[in-house]
Amino acid sequence: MRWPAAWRDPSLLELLRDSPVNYLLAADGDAVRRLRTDTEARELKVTVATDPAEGVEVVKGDWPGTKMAAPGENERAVAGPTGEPWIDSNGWRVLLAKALHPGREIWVDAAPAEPRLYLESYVAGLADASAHGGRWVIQLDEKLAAGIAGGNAPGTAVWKRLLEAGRFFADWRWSGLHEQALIGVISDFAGKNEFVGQETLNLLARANQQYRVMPLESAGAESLSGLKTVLYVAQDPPTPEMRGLLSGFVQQGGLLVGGPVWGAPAGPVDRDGHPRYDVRRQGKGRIAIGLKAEDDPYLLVQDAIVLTSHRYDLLRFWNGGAVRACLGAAPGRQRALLQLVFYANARAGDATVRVAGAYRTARLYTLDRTAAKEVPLLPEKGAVELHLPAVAQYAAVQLDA
Amino acid sequence: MITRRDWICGAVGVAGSGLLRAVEAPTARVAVTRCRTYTPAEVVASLDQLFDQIGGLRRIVKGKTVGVKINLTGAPSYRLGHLPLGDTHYTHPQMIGAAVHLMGKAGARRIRILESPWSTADPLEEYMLLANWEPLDILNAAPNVEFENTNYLGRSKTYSRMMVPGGGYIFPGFDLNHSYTDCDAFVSMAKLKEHGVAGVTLSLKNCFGITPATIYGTGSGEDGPTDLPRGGRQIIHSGARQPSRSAPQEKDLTTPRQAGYRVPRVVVDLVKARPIDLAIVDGVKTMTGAEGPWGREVVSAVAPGVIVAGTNPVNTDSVCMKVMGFDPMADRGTPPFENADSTLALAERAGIGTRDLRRIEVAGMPLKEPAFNFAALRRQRRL
Repeated sequence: MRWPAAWRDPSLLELLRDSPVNYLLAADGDAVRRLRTDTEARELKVTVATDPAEGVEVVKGDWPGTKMAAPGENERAVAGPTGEPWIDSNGWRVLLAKALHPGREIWVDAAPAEPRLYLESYVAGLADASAHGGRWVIQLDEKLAAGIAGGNAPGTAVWKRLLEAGRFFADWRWSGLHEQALIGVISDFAGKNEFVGQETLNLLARANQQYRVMPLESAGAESLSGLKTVLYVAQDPPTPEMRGLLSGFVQQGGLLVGGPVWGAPAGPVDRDGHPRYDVRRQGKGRIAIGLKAEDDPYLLVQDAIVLTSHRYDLLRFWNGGAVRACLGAAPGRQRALLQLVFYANARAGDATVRVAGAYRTARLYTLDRTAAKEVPLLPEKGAVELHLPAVAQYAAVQLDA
Repeated sequence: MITRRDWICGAVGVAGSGLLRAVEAPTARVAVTRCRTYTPAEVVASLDQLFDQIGGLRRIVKGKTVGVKINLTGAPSYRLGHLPLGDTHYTHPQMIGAAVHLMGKAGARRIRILESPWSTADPLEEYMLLANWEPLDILNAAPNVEFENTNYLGRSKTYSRMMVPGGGYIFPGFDLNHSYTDCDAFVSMAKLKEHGVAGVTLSLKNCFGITPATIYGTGSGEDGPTDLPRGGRQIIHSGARQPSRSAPQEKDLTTPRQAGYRVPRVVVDLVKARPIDLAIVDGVKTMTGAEGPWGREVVSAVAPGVIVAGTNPVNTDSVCMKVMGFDPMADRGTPPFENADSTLALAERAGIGTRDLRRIEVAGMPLKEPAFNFAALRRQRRL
């Protein structure tokens, strides 16, 4: 947590007692010394420093939520090109940082930003980072900090909800689950590849696709496991090793989507074809090479999703509204965990989600830590449909075969 | 033999001067049947019976390329409650599959399923998958079945210009996806629903969606079509701007810029430009209060358990209105046309068909009472 500069009263440290907050980022050396003395005096198990701990990778993020219309207009969510709400989420940044810095803890540092300074935004921010495997650095806007320090009702409510959410994520550990992905994205995500590479991740997330970040340097056969499609978005031609790896993936039934840097594809033309891609059959799979270098990540992502086909969607939403999802599963998919983050202030009502796989039970966990609820589950061919109750900000659904 | 299209062309001058009377507008038999479920056996049997009652499907489709405009209004991620889209506001996939199957049996040479889905150029199959449909069920229901997304240029190199015989109310013609000219027989396969602007949406209003958003959409190009469609068809609703300049422009910019004036007229223009040879209206399960879950009034899922079919869309929609408890002779100010002109009345005046039930032969289910009283529910909602 970034300790608010205005909080100079040592008694405010009592807010941290029995809380999940275990690290305080102070503004400067003086504040560090003062806070260390005060926390020790109060026997609080909190580390105080000006910088994050060793082994932590900090991601500078956006204040999460749905993008709102310009000031002066009615407050409403802005839709993306597909009509779905435009969500600012740090999930893709967390996944990218995890892939680029394996073994390091990922902290998301994002300053509160107008106009979304709602109670719900704070909880959504925490859930957004946690669901993707990161940790949220709590930051309070000045008004809220003053409200909490003054003990007013709205401020106290936000603080209570934040701690409740923090405890939930600190306590819950779904072990042995692996992130599920349909599309892998290969790039170094830096330099000339930064914009297209990172925006591709952002837009795949916005399309609620389950994807895997595959850094050029570390992408190997293991990272292809479970993927239907690999999207090669680096601007340089692949190395012979990478070409061999991805050609093998195609031969085994995968789809490779790339730009002209890959070179002209061989093999018979695919029956379905595509207006912007030369699609060929190779082995059991297909290779789709762009007719030109695509500089519009939106089009790139949309085309990759359609080339892959929604037939293989791991998740499919109805009435989800401003939702992002992370799906983890145990080997063999006997158990899966679906984490859902809802970014709108209002509870998402009548949301339905289809999860690929054969599951027989679904139990819903929410931040208030009330008893897990059974979720009605409708079996379909190769999938189940879950009819969710109205949920605010976050829910986890445990699915068992 | 004079076809309906020839008749319409000849009658337009009279219609334009307002001298054409309902009594002169064409009429053809309409059939109505009960169908309580979407089980394939019941839907196939019901449709088969309906087609027999209107003179047989063979005469309409045999040896022809058939275009079937279905109704997939709104994004596929939008459900009424948790209900499947086909149970509320989309033409049900079993209805489409059953009709395709029967068309194949009746000798259709090729059947092309058409729709301009919301803000996308993705293949229709992909859109259907998002709706949780299995497109293969439709593709395999008969030989030579295809899908085409008509919200953009599609598989052709150019748009097809289809002029409105006699000039039209709003537009003299339209630039449309090639599939609407390629087909020898055109089927409007609609859902039995109310509509927030047009009062009802049936086989006529279903054709509003044949316009490509690349030319008639919010994100269309000023000079020419965009490659990809963006947004809905607010241009037609509001008249705030014209379609891309490459397409025929509005005849008279001084006409009211109101959706209740414009939408019904544009629908009639479209149906005159691309006449409907067979109208099928799916009322097995549907919804009240609006054309989709986003309606401003209270919306509910209902099960009227009825299918209506006919070869004249105005006759067919008139029977549908009776089935719904509305008076097909109603015009602006009377439910369901409180805020809009009646598409049916305008279509009748344009010579497409009569809405006078006394002149329409109805086969199958008797029409003494509404099959499901949408009108009564509408009154209750508005008390």
